Amino acid sequence: MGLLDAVGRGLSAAGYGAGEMFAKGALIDTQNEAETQRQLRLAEFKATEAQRMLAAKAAQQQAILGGSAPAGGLMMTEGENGETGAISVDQKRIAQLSKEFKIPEAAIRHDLAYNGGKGISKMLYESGKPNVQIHGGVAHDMKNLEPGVVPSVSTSTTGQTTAIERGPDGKPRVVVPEGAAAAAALYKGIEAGSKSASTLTKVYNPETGREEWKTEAEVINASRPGAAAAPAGGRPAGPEAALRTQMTGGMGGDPAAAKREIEQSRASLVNVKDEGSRQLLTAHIADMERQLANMGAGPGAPAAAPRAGGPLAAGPSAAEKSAQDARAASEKTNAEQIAKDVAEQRKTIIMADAQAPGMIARYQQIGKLLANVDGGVLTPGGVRLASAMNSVGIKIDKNLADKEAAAALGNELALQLRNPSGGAGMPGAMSDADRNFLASMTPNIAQSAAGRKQLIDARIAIEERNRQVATFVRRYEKKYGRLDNDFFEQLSSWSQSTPLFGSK
Amino acid sequence: MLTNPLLQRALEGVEQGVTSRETHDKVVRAGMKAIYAESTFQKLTAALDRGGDIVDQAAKAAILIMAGLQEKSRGTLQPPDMITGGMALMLDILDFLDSAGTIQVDNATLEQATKTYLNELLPKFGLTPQKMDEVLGSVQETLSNPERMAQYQQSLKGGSDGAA
Repeated sequence: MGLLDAVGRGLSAAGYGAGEMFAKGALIDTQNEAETQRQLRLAEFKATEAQRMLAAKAAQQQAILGGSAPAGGLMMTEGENGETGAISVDQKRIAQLSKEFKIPEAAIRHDLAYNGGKGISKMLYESGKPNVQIHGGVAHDMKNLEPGVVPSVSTSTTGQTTAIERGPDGKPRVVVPEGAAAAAALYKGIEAGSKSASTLTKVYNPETGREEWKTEAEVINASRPGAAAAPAGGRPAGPEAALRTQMTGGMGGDPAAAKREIEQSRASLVNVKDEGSRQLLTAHIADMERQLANMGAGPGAPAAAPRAGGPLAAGPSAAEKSAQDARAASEKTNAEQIAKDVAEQRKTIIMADAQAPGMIARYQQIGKLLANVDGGVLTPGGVRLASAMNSVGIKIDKNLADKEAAAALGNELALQLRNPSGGAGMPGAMSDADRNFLASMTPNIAQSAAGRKQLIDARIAIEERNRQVATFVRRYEKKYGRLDNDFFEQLSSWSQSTPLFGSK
Repeated sequence: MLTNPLLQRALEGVEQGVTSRETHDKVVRAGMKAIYAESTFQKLTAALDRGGDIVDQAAKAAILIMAGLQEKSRGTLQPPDMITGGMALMLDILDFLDSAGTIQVDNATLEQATKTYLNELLPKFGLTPQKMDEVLGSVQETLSNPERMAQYQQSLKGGSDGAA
């Protein structure tokens, strides 16, 4: 047995000859030596195991990379950082891998040299994984994209879809994708129909003499007896055939739009290749031509006339407008006159208020003079009385004797008071009862001293009322900004409930 | 001193059962010297590689070492010392492999190695499982038979009297 021989040699090398092992008793100090040997072998064993693992890994990589190992098998070299792991691989195989998986040769070499080839599997994974990106509505695997024209699809804001593809000469070529022209025409027709059904226009109605609101579709369809009105809201719905019919019916009111649509569709037909789209587009053109003929917009057709009647007036007729203008002018004049009257009345009130204290004082003075005259103590009262009366606007002859002057004064006062429109009191300042009271005063009230005193008191009361009215004016203006008829209505109402002479 | 605590405890158990510690130590040191001598070690590692389960191979390697020692001892190495010494060497080899990271020794590993060791070693001394059963059966019979037990005890007494 080889191992037994080896054990024997090991024992001999360790100093144990045959028969000496125990007899000799020479096992002294072998413990440390054995331990040392054990540690040495352990270190060697670990190193060998590590190398075995690396070799196994390298063999695995070799199996992946293929090719034959260089002479001497896998060559373990030392990397930049001292790590072991660089593997020498068939150079042709590296070039082959690079080409096959589109991985740069330098990347593979670098990974083998400095990374022990650990990154190659990741490179292979990344290489095999598609890099899909969307450009111009078309998904491309960027790894397989060849230089040159990149196919794309785009749709304009007007709904026209076009595609760019690589032509036979390698140059870009613009084509109409299958179904694009028909779809664009369909959507455009729907849009036109919707627009004409929802766009209002003014139409003159000779029956009413007014301009009236109509949808464009209504106006156009009115020229076609029996033509169906556009669907409510101008938004047709349903399958394609129904859509086409509704669309042409909705837009069919506009011959110019229909003609444009036909021209565009014919132009699109040139570029459409697939049979399905051609048929759809051809049918659409036929529809449009039929609609155009129904509109009466074909050659020699009479111009469409707006249909009479309709409830939506866009504005008044000429007569209505004239009447309205007249009313407006009258109202304006009236308003101006009212404003002017109110302004004048306000002015009168304010002036009366300003004068009232002085007037009251003078009437009081006149009252005293009259009392003196009536008491026989006024000499020469005629002159002074006449002067006092002049100060309140009553003209009497200063040459009159006192009693005669007093009688004349009384007459004049009575005359004024009995006629409020002559200036005694503001509009609305007195109640009907007040006016009736003043008007009922007898002409000879001025002939007695008591009558004259009553006249003076009435006059003073009116001046006091003028002051009250002015106070009301200021309050009203503070609250409402300016005077108006409402003020005078309120004043009148107040006066009715607060008579000047009601209790007299 | 083994680095694996489990193996160290097992070794302590083995050492408690030895009849002569001095002899045991000599056997173990000689075995270790043989194992870790450069020429032997390479053969041993090659044998470990070629074999099947490395734990079983470690047990068998310890037996081979003990066989070599017995041959060198010219019959002076007695079976009890061989058994315990070989067991100690087996534990040392397992600890070596555990330290190198080749295996991880746990209770199951130790049980497997011990079982392999005994199954491989005992037949070399003529102790087959059947023979072991016969011996155990004979002991059992003696223990359960008062007459034979008395004879056995008498023989022990007579032996010890004679020795004295």
